[in-house]
Amino acid sequence: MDAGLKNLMTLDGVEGSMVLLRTGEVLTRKGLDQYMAELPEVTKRFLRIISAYKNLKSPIREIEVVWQNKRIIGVADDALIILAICRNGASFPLVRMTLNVTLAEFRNNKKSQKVLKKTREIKVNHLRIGDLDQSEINLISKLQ
Amino acid sequence: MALVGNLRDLKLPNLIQLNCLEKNESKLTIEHAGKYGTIYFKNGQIVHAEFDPDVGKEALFRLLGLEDGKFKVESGVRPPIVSITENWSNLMLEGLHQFDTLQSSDTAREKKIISMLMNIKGVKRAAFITTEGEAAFSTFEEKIDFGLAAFSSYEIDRISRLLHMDEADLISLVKNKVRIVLSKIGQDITYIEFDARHQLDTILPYIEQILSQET
Repeated sequence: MDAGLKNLMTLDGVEGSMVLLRTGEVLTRKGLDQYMAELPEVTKRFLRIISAYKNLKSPIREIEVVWQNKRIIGVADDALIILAICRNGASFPLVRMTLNVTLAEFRNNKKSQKVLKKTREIKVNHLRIGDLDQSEINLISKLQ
Repeated sequence: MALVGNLRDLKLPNLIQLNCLEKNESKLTIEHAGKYGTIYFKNGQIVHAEFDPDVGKEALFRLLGLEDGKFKVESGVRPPIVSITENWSNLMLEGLHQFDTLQSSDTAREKKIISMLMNIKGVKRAAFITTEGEAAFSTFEEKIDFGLAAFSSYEIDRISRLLHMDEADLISLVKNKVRIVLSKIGQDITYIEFDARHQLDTILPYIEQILSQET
């Protein structure tokens, strides 16, 4: 299952990547050692955004965050999310394309299909998991 | 054959860009409220403009402020005179900037930015949203989208802090067949919605150009 991420990591400017299930479980990751402490909190917040849109029946297929020197690019389907963190100057179209190929490979991989099937059956609302601060509570109340 | 249409459907900056990039020798005529304005192109540049009573840059800048009006592009028409010699992209920036400074109140500023963003090819809707998820100025009324935008922006702010990075310049989300681009400008969030076929890297420079003029 690591082959797709290995391809991603060969691309210029890609610092790290990870595959996580919609339930929040990390399936595999590469090159994110420097962010290990922050990773659970970061993924939790991405999952909250994804949950917010999914709850309103308009699921997100791509998410991209652009900073001055870095970019996080993510692709998602109904069970998986693959994120790549890149430096500025990376070939972003190539990263996106490889992410989509990797997502398709995970979907078609016999080993992962069992896990994905199980994940699709579990209903998780990340807006109800973990501590929410008052701003989040106020904003979530507007998503009804 | 002449290209005809309305500026509501094809914005003037896009028309100018098209003629300059295609290096057309052409005449663009705009009819607005019974008045006619003309812009001439040659060798990839704007070489002449008229909009009663102005000629040259001033005429061009006034034309850039028009949001609707019938237009006609005729190929192979030579300019009667050369009244403009500056690079077309610099002129566009200067013209749009001048138009902006004519309007000073906060609401007018927001309206102007939204109007400029709506000029970008593929933009379907745009809004200024407060961090509390309310519309400060919007071309649409779906409140749920304001809430989602504010919530997404808030979570990304938290991610930026976790990763010890400055505020994100931009967030792009693709759902159904639309791409939503969010960017903080002052205390507000700019919401821009595109057809998802438009690639982020293609539209990013236009968004950055407009927003950077306002920050």
